[in-house]
Amino acid sequence: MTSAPSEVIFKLSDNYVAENVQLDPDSFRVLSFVNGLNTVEEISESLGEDPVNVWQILGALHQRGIVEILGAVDVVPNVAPSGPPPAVGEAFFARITQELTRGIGPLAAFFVEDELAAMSAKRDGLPRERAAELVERLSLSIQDDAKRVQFQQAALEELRRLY
Amino acid sequence: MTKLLLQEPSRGWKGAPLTKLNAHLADLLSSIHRIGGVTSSFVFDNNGSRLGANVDESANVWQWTFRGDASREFGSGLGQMLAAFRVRGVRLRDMQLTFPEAGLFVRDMGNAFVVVMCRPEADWSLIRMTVNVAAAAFEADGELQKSLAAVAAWPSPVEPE
Repeated sequence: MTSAPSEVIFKLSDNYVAENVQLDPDSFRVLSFVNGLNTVEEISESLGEDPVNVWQILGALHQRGIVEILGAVDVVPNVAPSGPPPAVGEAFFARITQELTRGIGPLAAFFVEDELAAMSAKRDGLPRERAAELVERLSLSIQDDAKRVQFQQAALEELRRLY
Repeated sequence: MTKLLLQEPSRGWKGAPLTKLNAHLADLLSSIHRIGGVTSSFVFDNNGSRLGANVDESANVWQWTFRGDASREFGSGLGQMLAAFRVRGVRLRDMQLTFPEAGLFVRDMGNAFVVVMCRPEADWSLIRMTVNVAAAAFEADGELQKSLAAVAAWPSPVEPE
């Protein structure tokens, strides 16, 4: 069984034979919720009990043969959809180009296309993970140190918005 | 969780210069730690004395060998490396060292330098740019640079009082 213990479902054992069954109050309360449908977690919530305590009680009842394990609920894992990695949107390029223009003038848009080509990347579908690389390459085209820092600072804010 | 270590009062650092230094250190080291993959960062003066640090307390044992006195050793070594280039008329702006377990980025800041330790898979472009931006104010503060030069000229590392 690979499910988490709290997803397990118990039912009353079909084979249990006894004239007198003696249960302590806690075991009785747990057993009253065993119906072949409720998971350990659901029983815990209904009783307001710690799942670990409920599991221990059910474990003891199981050992006595009073209950048996029916199965487990299939837990659907929270898996990210497969597919291409997240890409950078047009708003990012617009802002980067605007900031680069402040550093190098009206040819900024051409520099962006040039660097994308040098990276063997396309504007449409540039992976988020390569955005910082593009920004750094562009920043090196700014000769003035202070302007380069200004561009990088603005670009870093845009990069943070991507995540 | 990271632990920020700032300069304590000493013979070399006290009063307004100490306050200014610590304000810059806090700003610089906190900015660097916003980068994913960065584990620790240190600032040294050009004498190799550690001025401040931001250390990831949950980092593994290898990382922890750079705490305390050990960080002074590599600070001194890196400071000497930068000085060797400077003496030959080459201003080494930054250098990047990659090890199997970690990466090391060193950035000259005039009369001090910052060392950033990160995981090997960290985004180096992001590290370089963030450090460049964060270091700009540190480098540009003329009074701070004068204080750093004065303290670094002392013959031995300045210990806390």
